[in-house]
Amino acid sequence: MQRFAYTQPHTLAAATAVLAQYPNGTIKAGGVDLLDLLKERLVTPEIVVDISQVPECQGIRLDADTGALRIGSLTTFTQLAASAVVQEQWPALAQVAGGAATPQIRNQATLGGNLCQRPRCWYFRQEDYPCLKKGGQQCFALEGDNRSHAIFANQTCAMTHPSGAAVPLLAYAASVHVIDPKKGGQERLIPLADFFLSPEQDVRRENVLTSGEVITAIRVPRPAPKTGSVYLNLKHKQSFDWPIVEAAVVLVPSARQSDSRPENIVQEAHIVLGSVAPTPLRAARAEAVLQGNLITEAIADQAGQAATQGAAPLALNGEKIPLLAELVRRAVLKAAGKFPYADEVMSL
Amino acid sequence: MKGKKTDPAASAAHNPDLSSGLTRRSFLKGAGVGTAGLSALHFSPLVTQVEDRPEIPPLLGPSPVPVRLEVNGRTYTVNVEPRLTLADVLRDHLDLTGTKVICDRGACGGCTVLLDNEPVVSCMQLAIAAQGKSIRTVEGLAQGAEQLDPLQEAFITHDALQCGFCTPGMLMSCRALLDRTRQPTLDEIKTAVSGNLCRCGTYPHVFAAVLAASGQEPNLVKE
Amino acid sequence: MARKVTLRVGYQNNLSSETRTIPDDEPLPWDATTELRVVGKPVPRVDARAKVTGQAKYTHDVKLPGMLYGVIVRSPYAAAGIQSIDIAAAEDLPGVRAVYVLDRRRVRFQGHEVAAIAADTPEQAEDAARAIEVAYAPGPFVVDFEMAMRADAPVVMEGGRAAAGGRVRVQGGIRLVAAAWADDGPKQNSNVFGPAKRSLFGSNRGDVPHAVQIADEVIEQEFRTPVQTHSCLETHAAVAYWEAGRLIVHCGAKSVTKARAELADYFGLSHTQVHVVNTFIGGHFGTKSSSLPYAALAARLAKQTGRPVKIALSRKDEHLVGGNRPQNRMQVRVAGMRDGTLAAVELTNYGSAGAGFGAGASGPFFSIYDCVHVRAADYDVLMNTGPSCAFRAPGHPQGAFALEVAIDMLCARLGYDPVEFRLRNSCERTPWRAEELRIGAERMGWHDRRDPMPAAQDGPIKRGIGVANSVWYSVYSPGAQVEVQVNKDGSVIALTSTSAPGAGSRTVIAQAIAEELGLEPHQIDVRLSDSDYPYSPAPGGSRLTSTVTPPARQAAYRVKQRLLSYAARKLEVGPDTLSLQPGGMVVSQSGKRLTWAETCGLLPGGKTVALGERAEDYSGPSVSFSRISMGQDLIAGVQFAEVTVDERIGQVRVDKIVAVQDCGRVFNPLLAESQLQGGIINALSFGLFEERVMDGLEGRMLNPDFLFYKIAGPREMPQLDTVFLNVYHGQTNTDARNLGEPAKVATIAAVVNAIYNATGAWVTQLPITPGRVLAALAERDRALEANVRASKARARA
Repeated sequence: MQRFAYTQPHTLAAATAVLAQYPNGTIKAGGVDLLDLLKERLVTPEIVVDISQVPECQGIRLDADTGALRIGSLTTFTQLAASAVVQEQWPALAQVAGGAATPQIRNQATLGGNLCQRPRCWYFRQEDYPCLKKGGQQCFALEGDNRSHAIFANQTCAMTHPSGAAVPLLAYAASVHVIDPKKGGQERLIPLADFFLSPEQDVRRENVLTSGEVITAIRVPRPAPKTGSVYLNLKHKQSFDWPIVEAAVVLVPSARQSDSRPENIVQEAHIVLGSVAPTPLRAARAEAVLQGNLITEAIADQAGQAATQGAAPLALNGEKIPLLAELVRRAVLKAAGKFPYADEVMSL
Repeated sequence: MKGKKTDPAASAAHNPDLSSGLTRRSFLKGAGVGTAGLSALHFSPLVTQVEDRPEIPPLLGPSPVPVRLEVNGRTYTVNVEPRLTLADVLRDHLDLTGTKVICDRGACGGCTVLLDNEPVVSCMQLAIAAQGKSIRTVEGLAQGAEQLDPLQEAFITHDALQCGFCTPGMLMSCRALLDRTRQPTLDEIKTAVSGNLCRCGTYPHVFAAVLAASGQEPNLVKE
Repeated sequence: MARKVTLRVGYQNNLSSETRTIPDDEPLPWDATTELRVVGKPVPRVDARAKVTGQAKYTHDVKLPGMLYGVIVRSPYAAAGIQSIDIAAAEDLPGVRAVYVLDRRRVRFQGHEVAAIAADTPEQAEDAARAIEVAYAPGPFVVDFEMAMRADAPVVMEGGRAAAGGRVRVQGGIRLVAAAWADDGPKQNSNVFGPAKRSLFGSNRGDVPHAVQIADEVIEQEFRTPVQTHSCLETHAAVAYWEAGRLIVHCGAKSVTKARAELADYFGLSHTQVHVVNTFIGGHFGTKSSSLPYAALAARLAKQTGRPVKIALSRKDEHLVGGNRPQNRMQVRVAGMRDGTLAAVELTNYGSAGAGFGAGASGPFFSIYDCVHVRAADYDVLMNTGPSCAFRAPGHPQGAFALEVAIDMLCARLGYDPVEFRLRNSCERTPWRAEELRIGAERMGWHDRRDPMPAAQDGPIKRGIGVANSVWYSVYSPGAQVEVQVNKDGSVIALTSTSAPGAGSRTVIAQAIAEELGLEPHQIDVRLSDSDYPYSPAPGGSRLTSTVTPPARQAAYRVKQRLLSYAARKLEVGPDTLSLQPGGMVVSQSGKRLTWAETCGLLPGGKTVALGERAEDYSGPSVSFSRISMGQDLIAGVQFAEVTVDERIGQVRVDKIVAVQDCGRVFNPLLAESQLQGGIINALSFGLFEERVMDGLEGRMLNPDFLFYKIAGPREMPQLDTVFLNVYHGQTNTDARNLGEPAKVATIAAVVNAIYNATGAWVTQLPITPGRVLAALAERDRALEANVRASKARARA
């Protein structure tokens, strides 16, 4: 990696001041993705601002009034997976955190860093490929080896969004707290649904954050009572691998019970797909299939099929379509507590 | 890239506080406690000033700066560039070469050390950011020269190593597991080392060694 | 000067007596009935302590006073001319001490060496390497196997056709690997060479076309396998320095003797002026056979600077140039009779070792089955990718995958049980294979659990079991020597030049010597990997235990005879009346005794030394090459696999492998189990996950890391049930054979056959990705539908 100067603020106020003073400073949290980018010389900052010790960005707290969860952006995946309240009320989040990468990385990687990770496209990750994301003229994956790339919205840049945590967070309708040091460190709340940018919006960035902006926390609203939720992914290898496809399903059952509306009719369904598009992708068609219905194998199957509608695979990633359909089907059945098989050859 | 661009340390050099690495707060604290005591400091107008306008921490580097690391209970101070990883400093500057750099991207666990008792990959950790934390490496497992850690003994007895290059990282992941789980299940063992690659294929013997070291039947591996 | 001995040979209850003629000063060979004290026992490895404490010094860990760090500048292009190299900017950077530019005007693969630099710190070296400006003229390249075979493909090595009389002469970064491509090799046709005129592993026999013509069933199938990189955890590395005109190199090359010759040749020095050493090697698996060019470059830079220089390849560089297993496309034909006889096997193999040679896969076709009609043709296809080199059982995991799956296809067609078929067709040359099949079938529960109908269970989760055979060869290196020194204080040192990449060479040598001297293995200080020591070869071809334990024992026997003669004089008895007991106690028939320390104290000088030498096998070799021989006997193994397939997501989980393996005499069951498990795991990793991905757009490797290059990890581990069958051949004084490579041969074929048993689908391309499984299942469904249609049509007719 190229030489850089380093500074480590110990309060949010200090971090804000540092970032206001050095607007081009590159933020380091857990550092996992940053070190990777530095070592490949994909970023060559002159100043690295290490916010990993800022106490205001730590900790998991329940808001007593709203029941919403506030997760400090520096919360590690290990902490997230181990949190009893997360496991109980937002199980899909604990599932993604507990199964990502490796135990060592889960001890280092933070939730905020995960949301801001750069794509894992193997063309992007090699310095020798001047792709669109680096200001180049082409997306190499469109013509090259695209076995792991997007099957949706892939006309401009075929990256898949790398954040696993974004998949359940979006399904839980989370928002991110962001401060902008340039504007005096005022905190604002951005719904995660508005956070990610498509390549068509800006191919150089994956989210709306501008230089120096820091995610301080992630806010996840409390799910309605009896909500069922699950995060699943399919990996070729279980020890350490990138998912081929991911899905999070949140099922909110009908609140009132009557003869015509049994309790487990789905009132609201949130389905988000990962590793299939340049952003985490809401599967509206699949959600529509579930809404107002009782979850059965047939309905889950339909939802799985609906989730793949509109997919436009590239030359080498067509297998993602049947895999995604099946993954969504399983996630729906699991979220509804109706998964039929005792065994399956997948795990987180 | 090859020329020297603006060196942030050069501008910081005009400010003795910043270039020396001594923060204004530590200076103030030292002064406060040493002269007037805490209550006096509480009313000091200087403190109000600090809280109103937060201090800017010093900018260190890019040239070598002193980095203080606590490794295996010993404190080392080395002069290194901020870009150096913890793995680089352990190996190249502290001669603690038990920690291996294998993939250099956090994917193989070869450089696993315990940072405040948690296994991390030291190749994806800046040394300068590991200050103030307790670092434990494979060299710190044995109690002195003679007394091996029971886990090390079990690795020998169950031949949980072949070429030996993944062994230090494996040991650290397993040590962390046993520190938090007295008798881990086979599944917990597999998960604990799931970030450690072994190219010789010694995993089953590693599982057996961890079972044995935790007082369990090593042959559980075969069932 | 020779004597006749009668030895018990064979396996289990199938023992017989064989008479062998052995030299007079050879110890009485251990045979099937010899009771041994430390050999054959689960002795912990003698160097384990250094490895678990982090004290073991690998080349990566060597740090010398004043040492500089070197980086090799490599081509980012698959094929390019080098127009100019500007080093001025690099030389001006802080800490830079030397730049060396290679005399190379063309690069033929990504990673091809161009220049090297040395600087005070690794970071400065990295910065400076990037500042070297190389003007490349990128040219046409080919990194796709199918495209490389086309007549209009860019030619990887133009000199081949005309300039070298139809043969490629290669220098520098490209190595000739296979003996088949020596001067009498086949001519070049664009990038395609072949077929090879001879194979290390056998030759054509019988009349295949006729046998196929009269066979009841014939299977024709194509199989494909990917490039697997060795991915040794310690990358290639060297630390070189000069001292009084001598070159001293710490080098991770597995043969320090070969490295010495290479470096002496490169610098025009005598072998006495080059000293190559290492202590530990972080894995080799077949690569690390050369010190070129990395150690030579380190030595160059050291010469320029007068300081030690270390070069350790990055992970990316290791993937690019550290060697790999070639990719193969194998067209297989197997023919069988209704009575279960294998009538013929045939292979046409096109393989690519990149910008190198040696992509053969025919070994298993010649060697596994007793079949009288065998024909195999190996072709090499050149590509602009880093050259292959030997990799754990070269050609065999691929060849056995193709052959053993084709055999199960034939069994399915004939309605014949795969175990029965193998009992009938593969147990004549290696009769103990029948016992292995019996043991394995029992441990896997073959007869109770295997439903002969594939895909018998309902639902998407299917289980199945499968079997496959393996073969390897009794490889050894005649002429290898081991020196044993016994010191006056009773301590023992053994010296030989082979290295210790992890299989346990120190431990088996210590065991052989300890057994002979009545001592414990940890009492023997085994020192390896020093080019000044007596020669023994690098591990490779799975020959180490077979090669070094006989001379180790012979040397120990010779020092023992000498010690006993001193003891006899002291005790005033005849030397023949003395024996050396456990604990090193010398005891006479009359009951007189001397302790080991007392006996060694009788030595007139400070020590006594004897050299042992590996002779040819007592019955002579079956084939002999320049540095290696192959004994008469083959090494046989069988493996059974149990898998679960999740059909709707194409996911395969290997639940269990039962491996029954012959390796001659099992020298150390603890270490042998590690080796066998390691071979199986490496094969699973190869078959299920690994694949070098080349980018056809720019000719670069897309996964030169461990992030996208997938290696099996702890969560992929099946239950492993390993069983050894001691098979005694009476060919050396220890009767050890080998294990490292045979362990890797059968695994993936057994897994694929188990997937068929589970699902009725044949996977014919590796690695077994979910997409490929889904494709195979779709193919199965199409075939079933076609069958249904055909039988309906028949019914109507």
